[in-house]
Amino acid sequence: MNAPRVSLERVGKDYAGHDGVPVPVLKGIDMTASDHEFVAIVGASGCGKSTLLRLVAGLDDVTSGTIRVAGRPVAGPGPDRGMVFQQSTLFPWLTVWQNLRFSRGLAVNAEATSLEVSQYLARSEALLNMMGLARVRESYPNQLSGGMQQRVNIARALVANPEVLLMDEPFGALDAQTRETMHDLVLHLFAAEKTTALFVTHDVEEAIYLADRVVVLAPNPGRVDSTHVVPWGRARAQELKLESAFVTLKGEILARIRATSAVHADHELLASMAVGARAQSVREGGTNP
Amino acid sequence: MGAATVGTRKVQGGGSLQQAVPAQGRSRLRLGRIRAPISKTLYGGLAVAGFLLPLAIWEAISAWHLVGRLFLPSPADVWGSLAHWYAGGLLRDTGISVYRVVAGFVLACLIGVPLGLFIGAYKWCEALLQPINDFVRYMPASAFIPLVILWVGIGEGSKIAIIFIGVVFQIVVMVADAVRKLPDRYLEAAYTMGAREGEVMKLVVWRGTWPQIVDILRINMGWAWTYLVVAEMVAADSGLGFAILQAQRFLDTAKIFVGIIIIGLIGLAFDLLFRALHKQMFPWYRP
Ligand SMILES: Nc1ncnc2c1ncn2[C@@H]1O[C@H](COP(=O)(O)OP(=O)(O)O)[C@@H](O)[C@H]1O
Ligand SMILES: [Mg+2]
Repeated sequence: MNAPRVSLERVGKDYAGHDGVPVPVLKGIDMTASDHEFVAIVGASGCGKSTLLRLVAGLDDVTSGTIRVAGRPVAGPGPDRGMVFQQSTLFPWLTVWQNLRFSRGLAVNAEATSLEVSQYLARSEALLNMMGLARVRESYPNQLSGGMQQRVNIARALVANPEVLLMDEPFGALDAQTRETMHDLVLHLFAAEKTTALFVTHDVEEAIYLADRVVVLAPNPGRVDSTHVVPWGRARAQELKLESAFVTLKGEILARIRATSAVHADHELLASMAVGARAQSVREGGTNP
Repeated sequence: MGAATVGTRKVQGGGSLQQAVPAQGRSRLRLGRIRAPISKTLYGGLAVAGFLLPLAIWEAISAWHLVGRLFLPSPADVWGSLAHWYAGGLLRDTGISVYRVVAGFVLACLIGVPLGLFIGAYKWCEALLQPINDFVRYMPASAFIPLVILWVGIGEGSKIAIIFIGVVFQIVVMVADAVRKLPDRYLEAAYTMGAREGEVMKLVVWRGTWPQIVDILRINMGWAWTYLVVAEMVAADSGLGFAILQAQRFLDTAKIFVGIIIIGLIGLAFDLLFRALHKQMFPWYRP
């Protein structure tokens, strides 16, 4: 198996604009992820990160180009690609354990041998324990905190042993402390599971800390701007974030995002606001601090 | 009922809020504050008072002969009429009315719920059926009565048909709406786990909208009673609606009162039944 686990070749996506004219959202995306590789995708808001992931998941169709997962072209969603969204997608009417076992009951898994079934059960148990969910096994999703819900979402996406795990800002709605815990949990999990992952985030620090490689997307239309290899192995600890090499890499990636996005215009706006505020405080005789 | 549960839940959660209120004007402040919780006892007491107050006013009006008995019988008259009617077949009249409502309602559910599910799930079903459903929905069910009598006759069928016509189109549109409100992300999660269309329909769309559907059925049960009375007043020789109309012919105002109160009580009982069922079936549900 020399072919990469996931490959995107000249992938483009148009959305219908207001006047019916197609607006290119992604254009000429070339990207690969090899076996067991953790690839983070960062970029300004609206540059097409979610769209890219939805194309790989098969939830939307490409306008041009080809996406292959394990050599097979993507045509629609399937259990070979697990997906975790920013908002929890756990079924509220099922308990944690029932959610984990949801895919087991589907027709795609109906022909499973008894060995596969027992492996599936063992795997569900193992994931439950690894993610620290044994205690909430019989709880309903609404009874769990946001962090716990995302743990179950990740576990559920991994149960079917997908070729690649797709995550779209899975920790975007969590508070900073919970997020750090989740990062270390994910590092631990992926060391054990050896799953290939595409991880979308707007948090550059999170991207570097988790990934083997960080891809920067540039907006309008979305395209690959640059790729940054993360030089550390997967045994990482929070202190890494303070090391100068980490900070330097973070600076480089942030600089690329800034250079490619519309932040220039925002800088001008901020500058003009500062001038305006100064003028106003002068007019009000300095009563405004 | 719903307000009662919200009220009690807030009493437990709102402790800090109550402490923040100065001790002396506490109860006055609490009642005046929007959404402020009240104790379970006070809630129950006020609910009973809400029934007793109009009863007392009613009793006072008839005791002082402010209104003629023909127009407003006294509570004692109504009680006496109830006893009289009970001896003269109240249960039979009630039974036949309940039968008609339940038959028409169940029929409307069997047709309306699946239609609503499909209209909500498939755009082509929506295009084909929703506009015509909306059109018919705005035709008053009571206006169909002459037509129904012409087609079905004046047997049991016509009463059941009126109730069916009265609620089926509402059930369709409300169920379709509930399905459309189910977030896309649940469907997408199921697809990415390998679910096929039929499985998504059964395991996600159906399961995910069950609580809303039970609520929709509860609301439509209430409307079904309205149509029952209309149907029985126009074309029936039995049932509560028919008895009310008969009582009017004989100027038996007390019996009219009894009929209306009985219908109200049965409606309330069905409503409570549906709510209890809902709570029992969907412990996970958070609106
Ligand atoms: N269904 C859609 N129809 C039309 N435009 C869309 C749709 N989904 C996304 N877009 C547009 O595509 C662009 C990229 O969106 P998205 O992939 O969500 O960006 P990101 O996840 O990087 O913030 C945005 O400008 C957005 O408005
Ligand atoms: Mg996004």
